Amino acid sequence: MSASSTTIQPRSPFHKYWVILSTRTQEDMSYRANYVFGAIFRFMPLVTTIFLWYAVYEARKAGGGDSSIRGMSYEDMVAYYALMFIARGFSSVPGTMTDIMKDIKDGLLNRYLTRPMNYLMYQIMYRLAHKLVFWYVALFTFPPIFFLMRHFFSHTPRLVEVIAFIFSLVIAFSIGMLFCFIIGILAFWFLEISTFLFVVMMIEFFLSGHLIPLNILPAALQPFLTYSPFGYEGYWPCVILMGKVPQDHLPALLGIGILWIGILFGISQVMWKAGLKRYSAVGG
Amino acid sequence: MPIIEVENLSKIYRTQKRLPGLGGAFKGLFNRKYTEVRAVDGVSFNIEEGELVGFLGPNGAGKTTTLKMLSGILYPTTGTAKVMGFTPWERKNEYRRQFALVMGQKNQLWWDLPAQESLYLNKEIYGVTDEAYKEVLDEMTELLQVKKLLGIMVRELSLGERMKFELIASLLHRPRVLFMDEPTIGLDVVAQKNIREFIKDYNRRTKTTILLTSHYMNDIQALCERVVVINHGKKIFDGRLDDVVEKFSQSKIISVTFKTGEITKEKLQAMGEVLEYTQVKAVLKVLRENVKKVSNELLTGFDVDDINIEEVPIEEVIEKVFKGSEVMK
Amino acid sequence: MPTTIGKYFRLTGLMMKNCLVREMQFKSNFLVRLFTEFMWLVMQFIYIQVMYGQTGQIAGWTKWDMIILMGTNHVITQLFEGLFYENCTKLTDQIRQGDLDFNLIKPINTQFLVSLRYTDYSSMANTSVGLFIILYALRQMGMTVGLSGVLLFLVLVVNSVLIYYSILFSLSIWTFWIGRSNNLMELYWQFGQFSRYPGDIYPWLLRRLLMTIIPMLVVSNFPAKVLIHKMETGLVFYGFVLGLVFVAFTVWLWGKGLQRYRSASS
Repeated sequence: MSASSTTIQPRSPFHKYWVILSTRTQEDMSYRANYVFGAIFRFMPLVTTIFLWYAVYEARKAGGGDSSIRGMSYEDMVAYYALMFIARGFSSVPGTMTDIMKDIKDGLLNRYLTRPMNYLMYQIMYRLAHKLVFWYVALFTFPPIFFLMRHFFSHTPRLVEVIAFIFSLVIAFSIGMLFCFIIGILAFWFLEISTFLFVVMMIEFFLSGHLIPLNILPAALQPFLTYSPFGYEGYWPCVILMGKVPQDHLPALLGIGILWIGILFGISQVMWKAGLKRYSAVGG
Repeated sequence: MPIIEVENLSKIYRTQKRLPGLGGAFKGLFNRKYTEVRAVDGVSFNIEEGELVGFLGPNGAGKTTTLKMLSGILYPTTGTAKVMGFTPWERKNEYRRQFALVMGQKNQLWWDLPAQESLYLNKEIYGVTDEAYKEVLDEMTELLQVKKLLGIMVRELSLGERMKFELIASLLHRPRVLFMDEPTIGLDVVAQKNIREFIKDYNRRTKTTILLTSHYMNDIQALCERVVVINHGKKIFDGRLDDVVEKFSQSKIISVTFKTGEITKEKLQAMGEVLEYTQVKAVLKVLRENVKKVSNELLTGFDVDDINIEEVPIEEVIEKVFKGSEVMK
Repeated sequence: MPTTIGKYFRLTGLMMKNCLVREMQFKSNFLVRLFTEFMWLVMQFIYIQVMYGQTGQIAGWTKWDMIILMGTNHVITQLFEGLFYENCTKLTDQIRQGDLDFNLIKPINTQFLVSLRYTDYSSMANTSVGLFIILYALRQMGMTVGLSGVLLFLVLVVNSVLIYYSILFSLSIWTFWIGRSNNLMELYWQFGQFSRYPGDIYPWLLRRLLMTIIPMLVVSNFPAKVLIHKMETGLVFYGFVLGLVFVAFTVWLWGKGLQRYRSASS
């Protein structure tokens, strides 16, 4: 026992992260007009989707075809794209990859390494702050828009589906975050990686089912597409709430999602350690 | 007729007041409060053609804002200004062809290109003829000793070298009026001196009217006979640099050397503030109205070898003025 | 007057040359951006493919009609992005950080100077991909376009680029009023959405809106319709008038905005 055993009492282990979260949020809030602007215009693509798919279904009916495509009616199709806004609102963390790359390339990482906190944890809190603001604003913009679109939602979700949906959103955020982190720390090895970011984001955009519902893509590809980690970033949360997943499949489905989180987390940790070794070898 | 006439010029900014904390930020999203900042507050002055005038004031006094209004970059809130007969913020091409602005903290050169490309672009923008361009470029690069650097990427130049090219870029069209905002900021002593000498020489040769701000007193002392002092957006002095001291300092400095070391420190302290004291030498700070009396006392009462009466160093006076001391009103 | 116009053209050429010199230093960047845009086209193509997998025509447009629209839209957006986009996005920062100063004191139209300073050569190169798609689709359809059609198409493309420019430029100088506008890129993508599809899919009111206040249909549909022989002469006139109004509005707004410029010092 040493003479002076006074230790600095942290308010809580998470206090420092809360400070990060709260400062980031304040920064974001000071640009009000932008946020409101962005939150409303975000829904613009839905307008095109509604009318474009209407024209497609109408043309199908006029040609004597089926009124549903792979089990999706016109209403389902629109509902899918609308729910995608919620799903992607959780799984997409814009700016994360570039910020991580910048930290690594400009040597800013030292700032974090010398402090008693975990960089991944820091990034997660930082992004949660963004998300918090996003959802705070969304609280005012999403409900009216979903209310306006209420007749597209033909399925009233059961409680178990709602719970699974919420669960899937947590998975969506985790996978989105880990994916960005993994791509971001590739900067340890590749100098010019940032230029490929757009390509990566486009692939994510497509594979998550954001562009086209994964189930109307060629059937042979579907197992690979839907059960990839990207499927959990968009496709699955949407179809779960739409009641397209049989209730008894839900646990297994979410289980696979959690498995993906574990795998991605493992990859990220291995890469992070190897990357840091390389970083300090080069001299940061 | 003065080449620059400024009358009652004011610039008022409105800035958002931010409430503290996270809750405040959320509230700020819907309800904002503003505060008014008077950056420039009713400033008037005239400058004659060919003058080199120093613009003095602490950071945030409104010097730069005034220069920017005179350059037509900012619109004033109230007041008028005429430069060469033009209202600057109308930004007539005819006006813009005849003045230049040099800013130590901003750059106009293309970062990823050699300086000569930016200079050439300026030549075209100002419509300078090929001969005139060549002449000015030769002359200036010679004077500033940067001829060899013309082909080097701007991002690879030192700050001093870059500043020299900024100067050249601004002077290509031989402006009649030149505004300079902290042209020597951040430069090393040698580069500062180079630029200072260049400015002085340029003003003498070309009779270009120059209005310059700098927070290095060395610059102002070396360059300007006349200064305009501004603080908190208001003009507090306009006149010869030497007169600043007379106006704002109530004291003078008396240095005396004695043949014998008979005087005590106590005796000196009765006459004024003792800055320096040895057996044979003393430096005193004495109130202006007492100077005559004190020097008489010294000369008659003691065995004085040499006596010298000086003004208080200008830096000290200016610093005092800026600190908002009582002399202001 | 002619010398003034000549001066502006010379300056444009000079700035484009400067950008080329700059671009040469970052070649890999150029190739990647080329590739990115190409990927984007591929995705759009898949989307079209999937939709036409369900039906033979959409609102009276065949698949190849749609692909011509896609190509036309690509030509226009890439031209716009090549000439103006970077300038518009940089402008918001310039306004915020007070970097307009030197542009404002030059004896030349400031809007011209800030609008054309940067050229993005990868987008310029991508324009040719769009043209190639158009030519390929026309061949597939067995269609021919006469000289007057080609000329009209080109003039309309220029008009569209100017409309795009006016909209984005106006949006970016919002910064004068709101302090920041980094959602610009998102807005661009979201407005752009409307120009990718035929106006015929939209209901009457929305279609009117997209022909007037947010003229996304004028921008892409008009030139494309010239190629597939669906264009009406009256609309051509309308398109040009609209372009003029938009450019005039932008010039006016720019003047208003400059009065609010603060020239912050870094």
